[in-house]
Amino acid sequence: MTEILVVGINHKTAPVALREKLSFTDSQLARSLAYCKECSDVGEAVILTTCNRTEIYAAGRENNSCLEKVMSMLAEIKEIDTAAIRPSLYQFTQQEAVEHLFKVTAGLDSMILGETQILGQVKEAYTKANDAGCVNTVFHALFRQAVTSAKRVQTETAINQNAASVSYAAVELAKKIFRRLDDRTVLVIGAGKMSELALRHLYDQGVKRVVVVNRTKSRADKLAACFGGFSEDYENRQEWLVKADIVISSTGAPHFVLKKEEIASAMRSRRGKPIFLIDIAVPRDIDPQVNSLENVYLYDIDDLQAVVSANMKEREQEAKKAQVILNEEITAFQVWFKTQEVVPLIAALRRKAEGIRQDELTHSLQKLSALSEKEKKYVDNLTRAIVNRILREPVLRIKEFAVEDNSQIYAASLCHLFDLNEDVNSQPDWQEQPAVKDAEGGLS
Amino acid sequence: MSGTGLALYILTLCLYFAAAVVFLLDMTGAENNNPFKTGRLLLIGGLMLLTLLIFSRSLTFRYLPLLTFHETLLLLAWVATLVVLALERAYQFKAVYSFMMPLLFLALFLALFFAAAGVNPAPELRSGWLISHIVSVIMAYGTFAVSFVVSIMYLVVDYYLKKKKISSLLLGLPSLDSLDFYIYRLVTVGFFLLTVSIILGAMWANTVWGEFWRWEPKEIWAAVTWIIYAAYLHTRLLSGWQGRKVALLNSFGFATVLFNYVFVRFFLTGGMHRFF
Repeated sequence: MTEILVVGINHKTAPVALREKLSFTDSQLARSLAYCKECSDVGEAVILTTCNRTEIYAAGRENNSCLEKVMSMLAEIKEIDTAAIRPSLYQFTQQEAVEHLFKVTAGLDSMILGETQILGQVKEAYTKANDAGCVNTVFHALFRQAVTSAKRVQTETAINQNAASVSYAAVELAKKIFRRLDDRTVLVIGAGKMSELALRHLYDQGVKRVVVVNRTKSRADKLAACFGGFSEDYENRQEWLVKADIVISSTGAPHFVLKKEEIASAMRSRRGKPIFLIDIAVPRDIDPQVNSLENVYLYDIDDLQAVVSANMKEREQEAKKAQVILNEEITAFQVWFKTQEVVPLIAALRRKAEGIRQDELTHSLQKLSALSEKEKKYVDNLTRAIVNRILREPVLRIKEFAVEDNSQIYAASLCHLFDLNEDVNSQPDWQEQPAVKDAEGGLS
Repeated sequence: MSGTGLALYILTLCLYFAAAVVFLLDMTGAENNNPFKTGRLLLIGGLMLLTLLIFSRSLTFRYLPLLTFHETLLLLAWVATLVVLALERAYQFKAVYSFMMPLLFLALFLALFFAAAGVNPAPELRSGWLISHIVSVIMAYGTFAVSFVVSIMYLVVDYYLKKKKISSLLLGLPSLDSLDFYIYRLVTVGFFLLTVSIILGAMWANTVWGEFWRWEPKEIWAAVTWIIYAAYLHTRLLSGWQGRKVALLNSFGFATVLFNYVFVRFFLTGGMHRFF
């Protein structure tokens, strides 16, 4: 029987220092996949390597040899003592391994709950393994189902719809104030690292006009240049408050840089046009009183942090819905997988029946030599029809009991009744199945 | 109302109610838009039945049924439904349904209490001037009703942004910018219709009484409404103002519409406007 297993480490089990050691470069990945392909105990393998996790999925014969081969591959290619890192490794088999992959793909195992980057990484890992010839029927079905379920989670739950970081929260809020960001002007006060980070996200969302003011003009120039913007004298900030739509303030000033009266006077000139003020400085740059002014939306670092924490709580709620979806998909895969297990049994049964039919047919036809070719053909079809009719019900039942828990008992008694043992064992279940090639090998 | 008419009416109400419920449940902003499609289908079904209802009534009297409060309320709901559907179509403004549906349902439900046998209109009420006057004013009111609801949405988004409560409700709503733009668009259309309607009404008055303007309460309030919306358009368009106050001004405009449509009709008018 085929066994699915996963061995890996992630951000929960190992510090970055160890994760680094186990992360694969492209050439190491290629060598590892080649290693797995050569190894007869490992039927299929996919290696997922990201900055937060390294996981090796393998399918092979149901004994420890597959796992051992994976570990020795790790030891050889990564040149590490696998016994030493054992405590940080987790390892799942069968149902648990499948559940783990589905959770990982849907982002439920990620550091940021529900993130979607991992989906692309899983797809990439699959594609690389497939190209290296390490993917077969089981992993093709498994990974396709995992990707499908992750997509369902994305569309049917709101797990990834809110911002998971302070910078994204700022972008999200900006989008609730302005219809489009690409025709908006951002004023940056203070050219620090934090400003740059907040600006980066807005810039990625399409903001084109960037104005930087800073006490030291040279630093303002430098930051503005990164975003195709320009710098202005620090003294001119009042004038830009009228023209800008989004203000990011992050100076090291010990006092308020923007006072209520300044914003109030800017608002009069703006004729009620909304302005979004993002104050990420500590101590704060903008007088919190400003938020009471009409059409002014002021968020300081704590406000943004509160938005993120609320979002994370919501994600946890959505994760519950996601788990329900995953369970459905896992069941669907398990049904397919277990049905695969009885494929050799069904084949053996059919072979047995066909053998008997052939024997008896040859025997009888020898005696009925007077029959015409047409009549011989008719007898041949007749026997075939009888065999098929007799086998139809048992084959359906076999597929049904395959998904039940005690399927082994049924399988064993079936083998015993029809004396199939040798037949089944002579048919290796996973090695002879044709490799899935790129006709439909890619995951979309 | 006849038996079949009543049955049709109840069925329309049910569809509007079902649509309202579906849209209220769909406010979480999940990407899956099956509930949304169901809601819209229910609403379109309701609109068709409503059309049938109005049409069957007009067939009975061979006249557009617009002389009672009940009849105008039905037309108002009909127009507002069309405006909402068009607005969503034009701007993918899905959230508008959740806010608009309760109001539409309420209008249809209230109309039930004012259901009266249709009046066979007197000859002077069959005038084309009058018909177009009433139709255009109801269309204006329907448009203003939607713009009012969008203004409320503006105030809701403003409230949540100020309070820094980022709920899933907020995530399902458009930006302040977009809402402001929709309001402006709607008021422009409504204002045009109102202007046309006032002119048509004056023309009709002239054919009946020989004078254009008689300072009836309804006329005075129509003028007040016109001035408020003119003020809105002036601030929004000519001096480029936007923001919360402008949304408030628009809500205030609709308050005068409601006052004129309901209060003035029942308590202040004695003249020709007593019908509607």
